[in-house]
Amino acid sequence: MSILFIAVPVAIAVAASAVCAFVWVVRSGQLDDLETPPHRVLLDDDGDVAADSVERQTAGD
Amino acid sequence: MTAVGVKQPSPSAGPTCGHCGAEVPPRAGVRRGERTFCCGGCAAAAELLPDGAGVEGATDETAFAWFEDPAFIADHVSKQGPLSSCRLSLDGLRCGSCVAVIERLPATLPGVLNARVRLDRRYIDLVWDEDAVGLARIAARLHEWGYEPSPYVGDAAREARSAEDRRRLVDIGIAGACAGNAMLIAVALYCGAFEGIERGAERLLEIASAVLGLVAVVGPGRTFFRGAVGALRTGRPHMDLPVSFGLTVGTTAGLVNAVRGSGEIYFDSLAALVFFLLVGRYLQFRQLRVAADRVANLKRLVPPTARRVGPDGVVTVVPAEAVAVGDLVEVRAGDVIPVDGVIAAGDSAIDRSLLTGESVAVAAGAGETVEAGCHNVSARLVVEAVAVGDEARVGRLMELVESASAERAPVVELADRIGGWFVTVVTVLAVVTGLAWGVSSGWEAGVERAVALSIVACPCALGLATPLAIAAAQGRAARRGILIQSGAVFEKLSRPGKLWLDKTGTLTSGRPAVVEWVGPTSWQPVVAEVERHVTHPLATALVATYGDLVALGPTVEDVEVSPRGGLTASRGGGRLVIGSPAFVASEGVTRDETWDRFVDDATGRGCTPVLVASGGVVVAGVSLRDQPRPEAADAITALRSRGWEVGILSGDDGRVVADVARAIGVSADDARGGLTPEDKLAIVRDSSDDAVATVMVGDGVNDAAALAAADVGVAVHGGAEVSLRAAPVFLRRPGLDGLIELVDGARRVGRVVRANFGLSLAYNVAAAVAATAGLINPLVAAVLMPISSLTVVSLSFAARTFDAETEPDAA
Repeated sequence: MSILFIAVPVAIAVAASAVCAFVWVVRSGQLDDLETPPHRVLLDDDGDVAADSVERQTAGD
Repeated sequence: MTAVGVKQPSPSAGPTCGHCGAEVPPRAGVRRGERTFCCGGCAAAAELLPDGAGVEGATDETAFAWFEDPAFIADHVSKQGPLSSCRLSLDGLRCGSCVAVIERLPATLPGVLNARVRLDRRYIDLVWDEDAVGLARIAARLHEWGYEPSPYVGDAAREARSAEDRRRLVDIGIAGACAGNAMLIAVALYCGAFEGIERGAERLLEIASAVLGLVAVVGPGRTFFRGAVGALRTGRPHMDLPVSFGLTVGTTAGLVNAVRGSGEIYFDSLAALVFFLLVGRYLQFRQLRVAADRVANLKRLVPPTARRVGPDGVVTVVPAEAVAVGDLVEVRAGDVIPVDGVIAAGDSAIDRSLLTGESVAVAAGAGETVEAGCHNVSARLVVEAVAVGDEARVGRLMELVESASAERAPVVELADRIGGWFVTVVTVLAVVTGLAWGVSSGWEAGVERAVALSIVACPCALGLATPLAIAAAQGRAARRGILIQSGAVFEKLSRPGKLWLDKTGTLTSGRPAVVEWVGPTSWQPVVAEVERHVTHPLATALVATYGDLVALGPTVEDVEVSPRGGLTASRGGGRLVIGSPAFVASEGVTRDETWDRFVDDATGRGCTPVLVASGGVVVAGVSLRDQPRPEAADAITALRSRGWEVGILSGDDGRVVADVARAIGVSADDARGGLTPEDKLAIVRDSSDDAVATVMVGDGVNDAAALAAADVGVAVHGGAEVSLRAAPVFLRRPGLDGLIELVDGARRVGRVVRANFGLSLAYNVAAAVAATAGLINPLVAAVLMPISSLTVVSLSFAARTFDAETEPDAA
């Protein structure tokens, strides 16, 4: 059972790093707007984007 | 329009968007040639498609030169090296296409480096290179695409809510992580208790659990301690008191046991308790924030710009705040007046409905005063500014609203009332139990019973009961177009009381409609053809009613619009005069007694008469009135049948109010006209008493103070921003049906809250008795606790408080 002496602190450390990541995400404002980014995903960086993304939206139904 | 998935044409009537297929709301939408679109984004997207017709109607960027005015730059633009950044409010943002199109700005307009849209708050953050492109050019491009840019007005309260939102999320995250991990460790410990466990491993797990529990209690849990201290200081016990008591006792006992290495540790229950309570509070807070964000940015009272007339007579567009007292400001026909002032030149009709509730535009000429926020209906005016910004009457009315909101007594919610004494009883009981068992069977048993009692009787379900039911109802209501900012609304509305309605824009549509036509109908198409040349609301109504008819005979020529309330034209050699009786008389038309009677009769009924004269003789008359909404009478009857007392408060003329009251079935005693905003406030205050709730329903600035002072203020569709700020409820759909739905929904919410309360109270009492008697230990208590919460959660979300399918039961 002595493996627990390593496993438990490691598990807590992993959890702590996840909490730190979450705190960073919240503080940097990534959870402030949950409405626009889902639309933004449909945008590409190249040429005919608007048409492209919009076609995909319409086709997605 | 939040989801991309909603693209099928709706079965209800109304046009659908030519691009995304969504239903186009009435009186909204963008027309491009043959096609109608739900928003500028869809219109622009359709044009950008390969078979599109290309961007039409390039906009002149000089119209937006004021975006580069030094006063504007100083207030709104921040510079960093060669780069400038600015936040602009955008009117016309509706769906994903808008994001798609606007965020293509950098690709289509060289010099723009970044454009980020916030769909829910309707603003855009821009970054651009000042050397390559100006903000005026960017604004013009946005305008071209169908969006109306205006300066972003920061709202300190909203920014504070954002920060609060983040803080709460962080707390929930930490508490959740601690609770989850502590529970895993607890499982290992319980297994160990049954299956046997090495002493060293058990100690390790206990210490790990203690660390996690301590973090949860001291970190996110501090809110409860702060609340408890406040409760002790004000002498009003609430939920935070037993929660902190339980947390303190549990932590102390758990720590002692962990250090001693024997006995129960409670840290998993404690962390879970903190987590669940925080989630309950966050749900409630979030609904408030979402509702507040949705009503923000809807409509501005005063235009952001003014057309200042320089000493040389040249008109420049400047930000409204740049206008000083004494400046001359040009107000074009159809514009909203930006300042309080005196008319220096011009004759026009002024629509003061926003400020006074008066539905008919009145003539105003040189020397008369006009107020900011009024609508200049018919002709160009030059106004000398007398008061600007906060000093204007609109600004002072806003102050009145603020003070009325601040005075409104805080509502003691059911949870706090019942929770208060329950909490006291539980706390006292826990102490007594602990001492009694401690004396009789040792302190360990005493602590165990006390902790079991505070955990099991912890008002978790009790604390969640109201917020959950309310949060669920708020969410459902929002989907039905009813935005509710405060949970107290439901409690206030769950019993019938006194309901005051504003007339203009609430009971009526706010626009005149034709009531009666007297004379040969062959003149109707002619009138419509002539009135097409005017934008006056009366003219619009005439065109809407008779515009589809085909005129026979000679065509109309030489239409001349007079600011005195009418127009003249020539038709087949004859002279045509259409307008108010006074205008027609001043044009030398004679009229006999029949028409005198018609005019008196119409005026007596609160209508506006318009006479049509040809060749110097009156040939027809038409009376128009701001008609009650078609569903108004039914809505009033429905409210009455539910026990509400209904009255009308209006700034409009008493006769008009009495007439509308008759039409919709409100008794003459309760229909009051000719009121100033201050009068309305006084009446609402006077009718307030503790027994029944006072509800005010209105839309304009003139109602705002009364909305804020009422127990429940309801702002209706199309209302001004200030009234939305003042009222805790906003009906997003036009019409009064939402009001009935709100009242019915509130009653159902009341039922759900009471059911939740009954359940959790019964559970808590039973469990508390068992714990006092020593029948359950903390472990069983910790298992029972989430079960009661779960019941309350399912009950709250299953209740169909606001649903189209639910039959409104009048029981």
